[in-house]
Amino acid sequence: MADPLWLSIFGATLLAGILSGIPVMLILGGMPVLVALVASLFGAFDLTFLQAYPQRAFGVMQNSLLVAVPLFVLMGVLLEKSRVAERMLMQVGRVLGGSPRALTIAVLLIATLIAASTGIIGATIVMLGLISLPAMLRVGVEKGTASGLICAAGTLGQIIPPSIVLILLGDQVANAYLDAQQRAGNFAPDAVTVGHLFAGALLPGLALVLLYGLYVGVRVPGGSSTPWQDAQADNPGIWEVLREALPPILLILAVLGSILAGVATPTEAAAIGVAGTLLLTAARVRSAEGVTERDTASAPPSEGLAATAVNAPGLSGERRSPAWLRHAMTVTGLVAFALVGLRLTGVGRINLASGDVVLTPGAVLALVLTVILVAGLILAIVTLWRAGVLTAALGQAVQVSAMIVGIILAASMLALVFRGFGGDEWVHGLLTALPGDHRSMLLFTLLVIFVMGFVLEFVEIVFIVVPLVGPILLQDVDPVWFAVLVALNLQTSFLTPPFGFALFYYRSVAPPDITTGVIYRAIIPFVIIQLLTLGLVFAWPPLATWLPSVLFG
Amino acid sequence: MEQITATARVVHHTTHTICQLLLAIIVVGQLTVVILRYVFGMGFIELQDAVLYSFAALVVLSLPVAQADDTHVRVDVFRARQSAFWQGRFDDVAMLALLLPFFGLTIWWVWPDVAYSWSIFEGSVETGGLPGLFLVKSCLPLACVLMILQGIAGMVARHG
Repeated sequence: MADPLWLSIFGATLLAGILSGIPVMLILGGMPVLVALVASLFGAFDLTFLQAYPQRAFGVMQNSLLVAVPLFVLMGVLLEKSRVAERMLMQVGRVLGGSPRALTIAVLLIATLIAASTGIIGATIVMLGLISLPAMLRVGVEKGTASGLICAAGTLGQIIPPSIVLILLGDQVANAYLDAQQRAGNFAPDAVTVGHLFAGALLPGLALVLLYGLYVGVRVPGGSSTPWQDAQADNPGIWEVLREALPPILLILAVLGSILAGVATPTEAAAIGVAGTLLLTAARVRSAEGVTERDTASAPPSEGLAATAVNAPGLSGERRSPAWLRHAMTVTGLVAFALVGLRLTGVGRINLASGDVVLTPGAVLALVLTVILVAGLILAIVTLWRAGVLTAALGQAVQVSAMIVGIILAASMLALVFRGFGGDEWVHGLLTALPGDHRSMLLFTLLVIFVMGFVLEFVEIVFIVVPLVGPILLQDVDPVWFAVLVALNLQTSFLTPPFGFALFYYRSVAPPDITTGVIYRAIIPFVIIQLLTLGLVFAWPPLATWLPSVLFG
Repeated sequence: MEQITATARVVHHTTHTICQLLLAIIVVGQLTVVILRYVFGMGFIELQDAVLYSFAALVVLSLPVAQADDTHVRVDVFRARQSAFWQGRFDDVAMLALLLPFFGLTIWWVWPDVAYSWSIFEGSVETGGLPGLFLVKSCLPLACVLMILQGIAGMVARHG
């Protein structure tokens, strides 16, 4: 039985609690318990409902899909610490020449890569703000355009796979879709996987990048106004640039490719991603000897990291690890790809599971390569551990994933109490009472998510809204299309002033002379681009559904 | 009072280290699973279970770590303008009215499940899987106790 009075009290206390600045996890988990306890005094809530909570908590703990979350977080943290992106930006910017437009496009491209590899909005925006803002301002890019680009490009991590948002959405949408199809009488629906969502989000994500690029291309002058400071200092060859840019690109292709090819699960792909990142990071770690030998003399490590790297790339930013270590890591990486190649051609299969092991030349080769791979990985782990990078990265990854899973655990308590107050029937009534077909339901849902995005992080929204509306909506709506629209919508919501999360993250790193007003004005064109893309996907679903149907049949 | 703070700090460092170890096990374990599966065509349910168990423990045990370090996400729109005094009062309310009932009652609700799990020494649902699921399930009430401990320690620190 829906209970409008208690539902509105519930909603109001949640909103007030979230805005009070108390950790969102405590509000989403504690406030429902509190309201339920009070309501039970008035006989409006049956407390036995809450005894189901431990089962839900165990469900989150034993969800094998979620294992990918801490792995992708660790990958992002390591990439940030190794400053791979920073060096890529420097190299690509130099090659593209000193013009403001070239640099801006370089920032966009690199941001896309970082977004794809880390998927953590806050981290991406802070990193971009620190690295690329000073460089862009120096060559004369207007500060509004630079700010808007950093905020907008920083949120791409939500939509460009592999993204944590899409993994969590995949979990929820798959359950909701199954539920919806059973309600509609279809007892054997095709399964929706995270792979479907990744494939579905790829084209809309790239469309966004293209539109951003067109906008800044028109907005930023192409002529070289102030030549980039170090453009003449040393002219990097194409080899230099490839060495910086190629490994991260290969890493992302490997992770994404293994999921899209349907070979690996997201968790397995995430493990591959972490392994690749370990190699990348070990090849760039500032070794203990390196610090004492050179860096103490040339630049104190305590000085602003971003500043030293951008100002004097020739001095301190270059050789961190001994050459043999970099070569060892390169070899290990190549070996990994060779193994994949062997496996694809089918020669390198050693089936130890079957009784008779036949050591064909291919199998011996695979065995040798595996030994090299494992040795290289161990070397990388030991190097990073001795440099103190590994412990720090693990510690930070634990905190970030605690934040994410804490919200998931709390949101399942919220969902339980919401159901106890008859909230699901209320939502059902609301949706079915809307005039028009499923498109008006969808529009309404997107609007609600957009507004919720002002006060909540994506994890809460995914775990609160999708289980509520999904079972009704997905009876008529394609699940991949729905998920891509939700992801795009959330991303737009995070960019929209005055409450966009992306803008808060950027505010924390932007210099004071870039006022909040400047940021708000600068982001408007990007929000329009977002809405345009959202409208495009809404009006033309194949943009999201075509690629998955080709890849997964 | 000082004893609570000191105990909480030691417990926090221990939990954080355990969480780092669990994450390391997840990385190494999952990577081993991948290599064994794609190169050697082998799979060990025990190994996959070890990864899943580590993750289950990490999920709940990382919560008190983030609580002690104050890294659970907050919405800062109004908090940024509050004085330190009011920020502290809000955190006190959060501790007494939200954290304590939520995690306290969770211990109460989960107790029968965990007791039953111990009574049969519940193992993996997979045949041939790892034993010791009862220990993993016990992490939930344990994490609740740790949350309450860190909550109290935070409050003591604010008023001490």
